[in-house]
Amino acid sequence: MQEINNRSLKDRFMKFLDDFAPPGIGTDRELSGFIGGLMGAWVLSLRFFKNYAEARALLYYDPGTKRVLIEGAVMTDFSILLGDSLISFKVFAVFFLSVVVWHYLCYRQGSKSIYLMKRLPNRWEIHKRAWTLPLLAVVVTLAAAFVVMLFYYWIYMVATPKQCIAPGQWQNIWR
Amino acid sequence: MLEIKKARKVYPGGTVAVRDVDLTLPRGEIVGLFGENGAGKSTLMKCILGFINHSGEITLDGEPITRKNIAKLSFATSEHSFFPNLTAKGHAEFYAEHFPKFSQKRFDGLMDFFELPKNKAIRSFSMGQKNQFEVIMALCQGADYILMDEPFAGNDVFNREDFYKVLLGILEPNETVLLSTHLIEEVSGFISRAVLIRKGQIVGDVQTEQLEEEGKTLMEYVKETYHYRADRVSLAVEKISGE
Repeated sequence: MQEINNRSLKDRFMKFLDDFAPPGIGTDRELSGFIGGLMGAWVLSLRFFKNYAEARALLYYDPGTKRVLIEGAVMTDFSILLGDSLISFKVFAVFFLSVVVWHYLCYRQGSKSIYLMKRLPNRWEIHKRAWTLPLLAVVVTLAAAFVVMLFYYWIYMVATPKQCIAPGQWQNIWR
Repeated sequence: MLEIKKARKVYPGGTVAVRDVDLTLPRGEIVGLFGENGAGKSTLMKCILGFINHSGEITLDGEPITRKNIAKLSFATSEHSFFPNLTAKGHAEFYAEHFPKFSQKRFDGLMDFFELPKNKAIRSFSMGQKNQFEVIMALCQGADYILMDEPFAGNDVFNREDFYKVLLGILEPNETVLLSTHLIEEVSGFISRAVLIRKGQIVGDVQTEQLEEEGKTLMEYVKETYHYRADRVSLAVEKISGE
């Protein structure tokens, strides 16, 4: 029963996507590409941990037995450690915006379905089906980038010794 | 009534594709639009549908053609206007969503008659099947004026015969068909009026009934209107062979 419900939910979701994409374009493929791209962008953002680990190591010295926190050591700012770790999300967002062009061009691929789109009583249908999913993808991508940044910020604040964190970390991100 | 007044289309570069065309199509007629390649048949249809900018006035039942009344027009073209990756069933759903008068009954009947699969993407159809499907969608949209631009290019003769018969059988009295084709002899028994276009101008417009009364065939009328020179071929052959 649960499986049937899940399936119908998935079907309804795919039908919803189909209503906002050029007919027959294969929204399942676009969705897979989107999820894959999002995962890839997240994997590339993991360099933050390398930067963080290197900066955190500099807070300590090792006399031979146990690592000791250097007195007065200050952790590198979060914004510097974050650097361009999230740039892959931005690149991906721009890429998805370019899909709009493909959505318009596909009405001239394999047939002239553009003639049908131009004959529809609803003049916005063609634009709705070209822009909605790419814009949604951009919003989701940027939201995902923000969530990832929040997660990394939380790790920074929790894992860094309190006395080493310079004030104004959150504000520095937006400067 | 579809009324075209002084329609003119000049392409960049100065080529006049449609030259001050005046044409009226009342409801319930099946009109053949004939002319050689490049005569302006397709361009005229695209002007009617608003696909290309033109001058002159085109009205549908007295109103200019806008998104409000464009559903009264349907279009089948040899260039094909379906979505290649969508199934026939998907097309029916799409049409039903956008064209309030879409006839599911007619769609099912025609799909069954031509034995076309409903759950396969149209790209997998043969050329003949694609043409059939294109025409089926134009006939099922629920339009009052059905424009067909060389819809049977690539279909065999039996197939085309079937289509003419089905078309005559299913068309409602208020449905008008404007059929552009080269197959003059083939459609002569099926159309009620013939319009001839040459170099963007209407050069002939006749009711087939009138031709019958005059004892003329449609082909004779076309040749006469086009000032066809019967000795043209023999003269060319003589010239080429040097005899």
